Amino acid sequence: MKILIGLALLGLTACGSEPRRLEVKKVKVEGPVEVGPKASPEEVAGEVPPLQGIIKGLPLVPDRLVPPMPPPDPTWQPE
Amino acid sequence: MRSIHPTRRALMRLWLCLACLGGPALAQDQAPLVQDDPGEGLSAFVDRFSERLDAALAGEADSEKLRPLEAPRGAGERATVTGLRMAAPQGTVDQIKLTITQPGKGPRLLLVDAGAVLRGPGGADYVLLPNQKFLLENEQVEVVAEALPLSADQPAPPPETPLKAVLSNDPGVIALLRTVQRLEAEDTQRLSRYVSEKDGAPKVDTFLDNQDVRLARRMRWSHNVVGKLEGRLPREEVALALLAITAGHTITQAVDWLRLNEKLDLQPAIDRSWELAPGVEYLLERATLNHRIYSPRHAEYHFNQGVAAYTRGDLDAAEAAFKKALEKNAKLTIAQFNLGVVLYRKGDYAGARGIFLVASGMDGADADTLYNRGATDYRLGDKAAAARAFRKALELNPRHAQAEEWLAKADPEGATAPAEAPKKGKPSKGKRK
Repeated sequence: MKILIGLALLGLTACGSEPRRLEVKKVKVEGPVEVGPKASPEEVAGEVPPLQGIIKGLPLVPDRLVPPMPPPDPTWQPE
Repeated sequence: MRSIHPTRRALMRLWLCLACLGGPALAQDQAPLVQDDPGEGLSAFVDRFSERLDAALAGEADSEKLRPLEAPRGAGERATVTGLRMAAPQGTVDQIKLTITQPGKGPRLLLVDAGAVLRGPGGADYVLLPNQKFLLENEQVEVVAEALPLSADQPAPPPETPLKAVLSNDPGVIALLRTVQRLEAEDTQRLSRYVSEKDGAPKVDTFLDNQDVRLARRMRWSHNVVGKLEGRLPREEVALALLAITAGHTITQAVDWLRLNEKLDLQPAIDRSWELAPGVEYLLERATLNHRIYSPRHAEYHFNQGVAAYTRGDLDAAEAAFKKALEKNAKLTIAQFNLGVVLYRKGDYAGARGIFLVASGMDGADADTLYNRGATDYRLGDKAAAARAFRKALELNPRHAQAEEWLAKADPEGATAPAEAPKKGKPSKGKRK
């Protein structure tokens, strides 16, 4: 009996305090910013399909613009 | 090779420089002179501004659109820009004083190219008007160059304020400035045939009226530092095109800019901005930018106005703008789509359904267009039509999650699913010949 109690105490000592679980915090990811008028209550309630928003304005400079090369030589002359 | 006296060498260089800039025939006739300088091409007498800025002038590149300045490229007998200061403006034109040092005497040619951004205190950023040329003859030279601001409302630093230099990383700015370089360096060679100097000052003298002649008429013709006839684009057009890129200006902001910079009243400023608009758009178009958003002559301008009105919640203005865009270009699918969204948000579901119906049949209609058509049908209670539209949206984009979700709600039994094609069986013996 004494041996069992000793083993139990030894086991508790070896385990230390209660194990802790690492807290996993969710990283807040901001959704796309809605501009303009908000969705109707029926859309928010899920009674009707939510409408896709408007297409954004056209940019002056396209995304994949490759600037032209400069004139090859300032002394360039047409043939 | 026998040695050449330095003075004679300098004269030969100047002659060569003038000859090659003045006309190819002269350069061809005297080609053997080049052999006295083996390894040096003609461009060895020309220094490009952005490549010759001294690293001691380097400022901080504090954004993605600016990159740090490196030491001047190349070595040997090259000129280097060692000082940058604001100069007194001439009228409405900002000016910058350049101190240039070169080992020994010239002549050399300094050509202003695209790339450098000159920074004053308080974030006053300038670029030099491209294609300016300066003939350098002494070891230390000071020249004054015309500059364009990158921001419309920046206060000009007082004269003698030192400036720092960085290099632009903005593809739009570089594209525009290089286009100006190309237009003035190459196109003027072709356009000079329309220029006459009969009455002294060079001017366009032709009865023709085509794109080239209109461009030639807009240019300011004069003789450059080496006496060659040269056409320069109007500074206002380049400045406004630059502000369209850096500050998002359209013709509307151009009116304010003209009122502020050229001290014009409202109506003259409006008239002037309309006069300048074709030139600004031509520059933007040649630089492969979307020039159609600049003025109300194009549907894309009205489209962007509609988006801006929608963003600030003005649905009536947005509807009018999208309708105007479609008047200008009935094939602008994105305007049709947005008009449908505006009508839906205004509560005009029947009108929105009609608009989405048209949009879904236009070129470039995507899955979202068909989805919105289905969403409007669903809202109006026509679930069968909604289901058909959702199915078409899924044909265009099988991963359209919302179309899939609402198809299941609109048609849970699959009544609108297309009938399966009959299976091919063996033909009966008696019917086949």
